[in-house]
Amino acid sequence: MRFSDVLAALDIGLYPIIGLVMFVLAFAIVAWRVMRSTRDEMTYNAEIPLTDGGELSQSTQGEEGIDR
Amino acid sequence: MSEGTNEGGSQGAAATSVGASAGAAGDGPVLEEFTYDDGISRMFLFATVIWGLVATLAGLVVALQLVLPAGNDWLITNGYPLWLTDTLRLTYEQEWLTFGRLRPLHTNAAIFAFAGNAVFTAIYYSTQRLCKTRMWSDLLGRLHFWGWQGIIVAAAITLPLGITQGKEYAELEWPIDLAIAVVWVGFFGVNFFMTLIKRRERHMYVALWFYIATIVTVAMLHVFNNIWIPAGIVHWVNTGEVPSAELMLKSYPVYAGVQDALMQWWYGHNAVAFFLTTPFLGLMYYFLPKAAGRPVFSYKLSILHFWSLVFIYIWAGPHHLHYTSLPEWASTLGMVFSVMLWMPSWGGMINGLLTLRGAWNKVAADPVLKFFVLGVTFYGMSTFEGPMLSVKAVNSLSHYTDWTIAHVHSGALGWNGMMTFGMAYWLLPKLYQTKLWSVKLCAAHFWIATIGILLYILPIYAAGITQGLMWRAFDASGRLMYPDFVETVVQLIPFYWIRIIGGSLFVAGVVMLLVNSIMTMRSKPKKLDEPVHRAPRLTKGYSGDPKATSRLSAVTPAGDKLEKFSQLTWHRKWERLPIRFTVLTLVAVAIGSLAEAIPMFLVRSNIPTIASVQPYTPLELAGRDIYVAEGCYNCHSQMIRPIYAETKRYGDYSKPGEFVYDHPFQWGSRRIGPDLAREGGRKSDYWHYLHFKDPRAVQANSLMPAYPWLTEQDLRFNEVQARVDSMAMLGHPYSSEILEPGGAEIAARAQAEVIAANIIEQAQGASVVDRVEEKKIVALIAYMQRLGVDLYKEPPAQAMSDGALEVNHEVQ
Repeated sequence: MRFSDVLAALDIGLYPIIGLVMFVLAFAIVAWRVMRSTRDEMTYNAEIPLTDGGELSQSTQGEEGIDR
Repeated sequence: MSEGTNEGGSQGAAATSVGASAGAAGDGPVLEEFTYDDGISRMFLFATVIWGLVATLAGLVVALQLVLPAGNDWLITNGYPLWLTDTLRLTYEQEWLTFGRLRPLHTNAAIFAFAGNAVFTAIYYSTQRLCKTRMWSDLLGRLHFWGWQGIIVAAAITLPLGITQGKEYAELEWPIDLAIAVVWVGFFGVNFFMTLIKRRERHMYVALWFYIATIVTVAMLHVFNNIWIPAGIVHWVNTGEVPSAELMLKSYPVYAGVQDALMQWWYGHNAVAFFLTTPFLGLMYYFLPKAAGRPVFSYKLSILHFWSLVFIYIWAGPHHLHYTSLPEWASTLGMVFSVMLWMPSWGGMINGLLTLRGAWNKVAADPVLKFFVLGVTFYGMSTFEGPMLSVKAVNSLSHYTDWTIAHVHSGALGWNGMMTFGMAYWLLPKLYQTKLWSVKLCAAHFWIATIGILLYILPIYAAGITQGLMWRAFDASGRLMYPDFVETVVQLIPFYWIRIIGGSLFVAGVVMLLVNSIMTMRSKPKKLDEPVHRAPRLTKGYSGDPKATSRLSAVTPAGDKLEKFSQLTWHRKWERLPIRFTVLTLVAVAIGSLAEAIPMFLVRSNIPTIASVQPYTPLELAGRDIYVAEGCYNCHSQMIRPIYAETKRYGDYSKPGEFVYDHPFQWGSRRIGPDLAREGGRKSDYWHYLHFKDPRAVQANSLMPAYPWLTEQDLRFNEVQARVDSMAMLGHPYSSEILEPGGAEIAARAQAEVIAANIIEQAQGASVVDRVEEKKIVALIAYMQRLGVDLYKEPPAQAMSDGALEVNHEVQ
């Protein structure tokens, strides 16, 4: 029996159900990971864009650079 | 990849003493000095503004083309000078500028040129800062920039020339497809991922996740939707003859009909998802906190947002094909996941808007924040409307109408446009190290663009609903209330005029941005500063994560492992590993793709073949290629849905088996003109001849441009063989006589002679162009007369013996 025969024999209504189950599983894992995270970790991550310039050293023109 | 630790971790970077020097030994972390490549962001930003103007102007022209035929007729009737009316006519009846050729230019320019360059601006600027490192290669960045601009220019040249694959948002022909793959993966992708690998910030901020999803998914979509056979190359290899440029650039997708439709809308919908949504969400997660000066409302929500979105979005494509010949299971699957998409989309919108909690006073004063707030609001509105339109009952009314056009522009102008403008105004002073030339002009741009969007979408929503209702309106005796399709088009003209006002305001806003950009650039310092930053390098062997510990170690080894697994420290680790994270993302998008594609391609019962449906004749095939080149699918569908109002108007509903020889499928997505699925045999050859030459000569109030060049240009009969040979390679059962060298040309000429004789006879002495049998118009008429007629033919004996199914059908 070929794979295509197996697929043809399956109730086509299974596909949305399988898809839904897979999504729920994936979502549950991510939700669990999020719930297990600490406030410090999340706060640090959220503030990365606000501290993303690295530590400013000097400008190439010898003046204080612009902190971007 | 960067996995490991620095002493104290990158979290300590900001706290490292300023006095530490690069490479200095000491107790603290070793700091490395680096600069950012802002030149590449400046280049992409300028390209964004320029292409933004081009894309919106092209949109304005195609909008005008829908009203000008009627407007010009009014001018002529009222005695306006000929020079004026002839000039106006040029804008909608010039070969290179017809609606069918120009509309793909508008959509491609808006998506890939305007939004694309905006995405690259955002990614190059933010990735370096989020990774605390310069881009891996300046050279790859420049190759990416010039390669992408070259692709856009190539599109701007080829699309008006009618060189197209005929698939929406994937019109570009095979050499440009190859260039896109090289530039996207080879230059952009490699540079981005190498930058991630050598980053100095351990955690990959969520914006980077969205960029990763964008890069890998767009690459996947592009490659799988663009598997084709280049007809010219096939011809060259088979015969040794160098084909014409037109044939050399021609390709046929390997997918046909229903399968091609599934692939195309898997691509088309996810081009919206992963080219116009995920990178702009990355942009939102970076630039909105920067502009507001406060962190994103909930980082936890952003994680849920990301994974839910990438997992769900990829399944939603089939909702573009409700009630078509796509099997219902696939259509339902697309609808279910589209409705589920509400959740992550609104999670993202709420996260964006709540980032401004406590800072709404800034919004009142800062036009940049105004742009962002309106952009995110439009994101919420579009992602509410999208799932609603995917519900079959709603879709039965909205599909093929201007409602879809309004929805698309709510997203493109409101979400992509406003986010891009906000980013541009925020970046301009930073990239050019000066003040924005005019904040007032920026604020004026915000208001004019907002009014412009509203004046665009509101009348087009009204137009779409009007169309949908008129198509399905019956009178008291059960007859169609508007049996003449053009009646439903004439009603839209006032809405189209209001749209032109709205579109003009939006274009005026882009001009304001261009002026502000140029003036800001002109006021930049003579030499731009390049600040040097310092951050510790990430080293291997990082052990900063909390260890997974088990309280079940005394119970069973399996319980012990499960307890540790459930603490998900592995996920935390994977979030730092770019390659592994990318693979996870790819798995998330591949699941939905495979779940739809595998059954569609492997289960034969999805597309029952019809014994009487046969391949196109050589002349019809050549005519079909003209239909594709002229972009007829931009106004005409070839798909009659099993809805009473449609079968009443157009005939028997379309069957999946009718499209097995359609490379590419031409179902279309909107109807400014009537459906053509059963056009064959409805009108005479001469009627088509006249109609193509001057539509308003046979159909008053028609919006269709005239195609006089089809009666002037000769068909290249000597290249018909190459088209047939390509189809034979795809498995089309042509006879040995047709496949013999020159056989296709002989058959094509013979059919052309018959059609030419019909035209001359039916003209009854009226003027017909000389040698009409040599002209392109004959091939196009041959194709038109073939549409939808196979269903009613007797199947050939050979086809019946091959086991093809005969479909029962009722002739309307």
